[in-house]
Amino acid sequence: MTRFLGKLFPQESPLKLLYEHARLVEKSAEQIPVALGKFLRHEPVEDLAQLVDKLEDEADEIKVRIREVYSKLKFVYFDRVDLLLILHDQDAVIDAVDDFLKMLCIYRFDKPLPKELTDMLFELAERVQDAIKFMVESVHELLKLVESSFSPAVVGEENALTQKVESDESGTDRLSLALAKKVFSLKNVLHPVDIMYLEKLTRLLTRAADHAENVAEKVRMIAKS
Amino acid sequence: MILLVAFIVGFLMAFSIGANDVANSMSTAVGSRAITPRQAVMIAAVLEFLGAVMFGSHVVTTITKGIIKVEFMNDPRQVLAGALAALLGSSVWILLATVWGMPVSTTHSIVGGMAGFGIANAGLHAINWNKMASIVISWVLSPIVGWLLAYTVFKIISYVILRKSHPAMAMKRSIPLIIFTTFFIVCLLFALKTLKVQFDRALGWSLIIAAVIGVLGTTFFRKIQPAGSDEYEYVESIFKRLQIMTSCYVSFSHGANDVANAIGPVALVYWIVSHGNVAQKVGVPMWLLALGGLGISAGALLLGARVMKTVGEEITELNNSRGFCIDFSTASTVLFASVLGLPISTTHVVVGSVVGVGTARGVELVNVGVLKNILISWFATVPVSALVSAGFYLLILRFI
Repeated sequence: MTRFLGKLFPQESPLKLLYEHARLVEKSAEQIPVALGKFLRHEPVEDLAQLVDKLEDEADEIKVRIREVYSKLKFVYFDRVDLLLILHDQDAVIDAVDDFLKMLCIYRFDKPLPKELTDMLFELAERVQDAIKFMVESVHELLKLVESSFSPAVVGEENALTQKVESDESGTDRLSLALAKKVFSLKNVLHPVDIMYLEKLTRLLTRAADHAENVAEKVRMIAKS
Repeated sequence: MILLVAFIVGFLMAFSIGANDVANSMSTAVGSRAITPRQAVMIAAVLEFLGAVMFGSHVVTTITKGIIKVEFMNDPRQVLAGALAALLGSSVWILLATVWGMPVSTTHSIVGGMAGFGIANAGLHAINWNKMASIVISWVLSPIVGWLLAYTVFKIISYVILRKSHPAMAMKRSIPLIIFTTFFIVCLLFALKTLKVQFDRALGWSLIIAAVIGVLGTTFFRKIQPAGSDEYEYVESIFKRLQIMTSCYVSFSHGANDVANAIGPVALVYWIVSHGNVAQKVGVPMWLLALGGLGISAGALLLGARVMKTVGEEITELNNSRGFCIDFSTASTVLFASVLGLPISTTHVVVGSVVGVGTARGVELVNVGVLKNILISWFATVPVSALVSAGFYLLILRFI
């Protein structure tokens, strides 16, 4: 009998790869406040943009590996489409972070921004980073969920975590709205291009938080199924 | 001279079973790092031998006397040629299939080989079709039984241990039952089917032996304390140790069933050479089973480690609780088939068990493409090895 038994199993666990992918997203999100600080101090952020670009490339490689595993194998813990949708959302988060960093590279404010505005920007950046951190935790919980054979206790932990991400995301939404209001209220102080630029930065950050929330919600749906 | 050739070919067949099939049987334990490849071959070397000697005779009898009707085995010359042809035919087919990378079962091959010589000798009516049907049904049923058993065992472990609020505590409580059940099955089947002890006595002794081993095992396992705060890590560490026990169980069962693939035709040749005729009952001497067991052990010991390492490295994503379920279900199914005298493929039962744990949401993924390959090889093996064996039979008849 040839050694075919090994072929029955995947060489790499797609769930562990998904977590690895999420960790890269988290690493890229850690650069958001750092890059924002440098940007506002008029320091170059290209090196950080390059780092995130590299992380995105690594994440893309993992994405390909996950898809390859799924193209050959069946009998998953849950619907394959769910896992691929989570992957898609995680990918959208790192894309948004990458776009944010690139955006910081292409423009400079002529005048310093009002302190109230920069504070709000920093707060938004930190909240987005937190949402992504919780997203990674919820993907990690997915591994525990599988190990525990979908234990109700772990499902409960997963629910609590999803609620954290959701509340963080709604806080991000409120903050981005307040930020947008503040930006437009300063229409006579800021340059029109600055307003447009700030609005774009805010949108990219909220997009990242939105997708992080989507991941946590999908994980919760899997846990409940 | 003929006897010597039969012994050499039979021993080589046993050696190849030890080198290849043992790896498939024990790879889950190696893959989940319960044991190292070196430990696996040491366990296999001892337990395969014991399984062959203690339970091997049941399946050997089926191979020697079950497939071809006794009335067509009157001419010692023909039977001698046939037994050798079956052995050579199946060996050649296994060799070719290995070169082509086909997942061919040695069990299916030897059964095909025996049938091939019977048909070449006296036509289709020489085959004991009732027995043949029961063998073929067992080939279909055994992976299904492995599947159902693995599914059930994993579900029980899930509800009794993994899904509990405190899995570490639940694990500690379950250890005695797990050890007791494993040893009870082995002892009961051995007492009933090999020692031919009466049911009530067999039951009583099995209960006592399993209880004693259960108590000793529990004392050992209770000493192991959780290393960190992760309860699942502790549960897996216990299953890792329990898998050493199930690996022994798999080896033992594998030896019990697969020794017949190598020794069945040799037993027939030996009987004819030493008695000059084919009796209603062909006895299977213990030393012949020991020779087969020794061949399997030698194969595992000399070549098995490398194969086990390769297969083990391919399935590192399997954790210990799942590996335990696969091993336990496989060993129980194979041992049960052995005492019924049914020659089944251990590897196919492993596959059934893997799918069983998979459908119970225990294994992340299973490659169904491999299952198709197994099915195709399954259909090809019996007719092809029968054909090759028939060819060898006609050839050998010219020389003896």
